[in-house]
Amino acid sequence: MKLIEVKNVYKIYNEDMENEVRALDGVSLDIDMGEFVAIIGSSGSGKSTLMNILGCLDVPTYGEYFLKGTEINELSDSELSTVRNREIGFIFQGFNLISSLNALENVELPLIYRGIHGSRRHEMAVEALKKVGLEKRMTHMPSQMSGGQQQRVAIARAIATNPPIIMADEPTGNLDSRTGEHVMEILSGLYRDGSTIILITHDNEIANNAKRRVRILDGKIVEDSKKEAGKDESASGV
Amino acid sequence: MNLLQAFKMSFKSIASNKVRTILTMLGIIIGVAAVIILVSLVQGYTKSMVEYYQKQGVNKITVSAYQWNENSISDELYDYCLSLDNLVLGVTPNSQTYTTVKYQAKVNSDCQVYFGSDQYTICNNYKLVEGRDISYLDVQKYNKVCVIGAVAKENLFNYADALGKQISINGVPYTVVGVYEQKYSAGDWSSTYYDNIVVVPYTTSRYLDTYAYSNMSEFVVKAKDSASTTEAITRLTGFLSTKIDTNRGWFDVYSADQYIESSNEQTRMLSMILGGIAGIALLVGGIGIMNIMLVTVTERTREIGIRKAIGARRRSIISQFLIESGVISFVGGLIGIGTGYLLTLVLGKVLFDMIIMPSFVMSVGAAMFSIVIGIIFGIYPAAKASGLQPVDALRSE
Ligand SMILES: Nc1ncnc2c1ncn2[C@@H]1O[C@H](COP(=O)(O)OP(=O)(O)OP(=O)(O)O)[C@@H](O)[C@H]1O
Ligand SMILES: [Mg+2]
Repeated sequence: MKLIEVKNVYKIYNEDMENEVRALDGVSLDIDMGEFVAIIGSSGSGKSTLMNILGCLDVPTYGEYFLKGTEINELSDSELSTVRNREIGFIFQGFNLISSLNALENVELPLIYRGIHGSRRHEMAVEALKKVGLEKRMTHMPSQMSGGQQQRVAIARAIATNPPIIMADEPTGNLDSRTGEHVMEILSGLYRDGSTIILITHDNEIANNAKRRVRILDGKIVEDSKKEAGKDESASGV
Repeated sequence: MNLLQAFKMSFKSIASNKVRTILTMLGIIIGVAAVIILVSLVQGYTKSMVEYYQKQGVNKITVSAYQWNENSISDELYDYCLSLDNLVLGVTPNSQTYTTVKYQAKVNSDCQVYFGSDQYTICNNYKLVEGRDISYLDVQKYNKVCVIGAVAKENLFNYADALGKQISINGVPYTVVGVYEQKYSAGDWSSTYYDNIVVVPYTTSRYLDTYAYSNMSEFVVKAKDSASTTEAITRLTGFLSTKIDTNRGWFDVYSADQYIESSNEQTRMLSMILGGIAGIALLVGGIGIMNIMLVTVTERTREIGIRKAIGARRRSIISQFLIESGVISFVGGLIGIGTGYLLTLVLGKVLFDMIIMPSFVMSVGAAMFSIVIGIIFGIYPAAKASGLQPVDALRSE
């Protein structure tokens, strides 16, 4: 079974008006369990829009989206919250930490909404912070941390619940190349441990960490390394 | 997410947003305290006015009647009032003179000497603690006896026995036959007027003040109840109009009850005006709460977007915000009530020398109002933002 199945999805802002924007213009995409996919494209091409729909943070204007075989359009608001909590870990383009909570509390948040209590929750949050090398910064507030440290807290928050899918929107965008490399190592490690990783970037070099690259331009998929490989295979098969 | 978690989350948010918390509470505290203080002080003032008039005596009719070149109407009025015994409890002249009162070498300065009938006590709302009243016979026989007020007794005799002693009024010896109970608390300015008195039979005024004797024009009639007061005023007015030729004299019949009425009317007006001001204070406090809540809406909308993105359900978010604003408003309300009570007690003591207790219902009402405003504007951003797609909430700047 496909993990993710996107069928002819459109996201249109200000439809039928002069300033209509087709952020996604008929996108179809399948992703299997355990893949490491990079979605690449220039600024404004629709990458974040696609990730928001894949992550159930937004709904398409037209088209269908199946996650583990479930039609996402048909879920209620609270069912969507549960899906996000159980299936997906987000790493946002801006870090999106809650400024009034310290690192540990930020990481604990998805665990709280999962319904995990007490020492077990604490252990899981500490575990996640250890994975990103921040066990010594647990009580720091976001404002007391560097950009790279904040991004790592965001990663820890995304992986704390051990979700099967990790979605990262420009996780290295605000970081210097060394810190960026460190973040990519963490993501590669998660991939090796069996997570499905969807990475969004405009940087080809970063994208090379992924096994599959999907290029998007003006809301359309213009290149998919998997399909081309598939074509090659079928071609050689004949 | 369970309720305990929601509470923990709310308290964390309250503690980590101190400025917002304090400003919100301040709005509630000021609103609630202002309402309590203003309304209570008006009520206290009303109460002190009513008490003052009640001490003066209710159902008390003051009669002034004077006719040029005629003898005083006092005897005729006295007899007429006796005929109204179904309406009237008593009648007395109420003239006074200001003269030297001495006991042996002790001089009582500022003492008022009243010329009264045997019904002076009941007419002016005094009570005897010792001895007897002036009697009808005393009046008839020009007996030189007197009843003295509590302060007069203290000034002349201190704690010694006064009954049977002879005091000198304007050099004329009078025997003390009774002592009144203290009417106003010591130190109250009224006490120096109404407790430092000597009452003598009005007929004996000819020994003391010949002008007062022949021109006795002030009387007090005590009616049985407020209906009788109205009736007696009508009768007395009728009686006096047959007796007094208004070309050569004048008369006037009125009751202080009318003053109580009109002063009640005034304090009602005052309470309405101050209540209005207090209502405005409450409203301003409420607007302050709204303001601070709305200012933080954007910040909170982002926060709600983040929470939803990582799996918070709408219900958890709303209950967190509900608890948060509920706790802030409730604590603010309690502090407001406390502040209101404290300041009411202090101001009541300073302004009216009274212990004023604010009305419980009003305090709770004012607190409820602020709490409701606090909660409504506290959950407003939550209700609005939690209904958005997470991506829209996250995008809010
Ligand atoms: N709420 C919106 N209303 C109108 N247009 C929007 C809205 N959100 C996004 N867009 C438009 O949709 C297009 C795709 O936006 P998107 O954020 O997906 O780009 P992106 O590929 O993530 O760019 P970047 O690399 O800069 O993050 C852009 O042209 C943007 O202007
Ligand atoms: Mg983007």
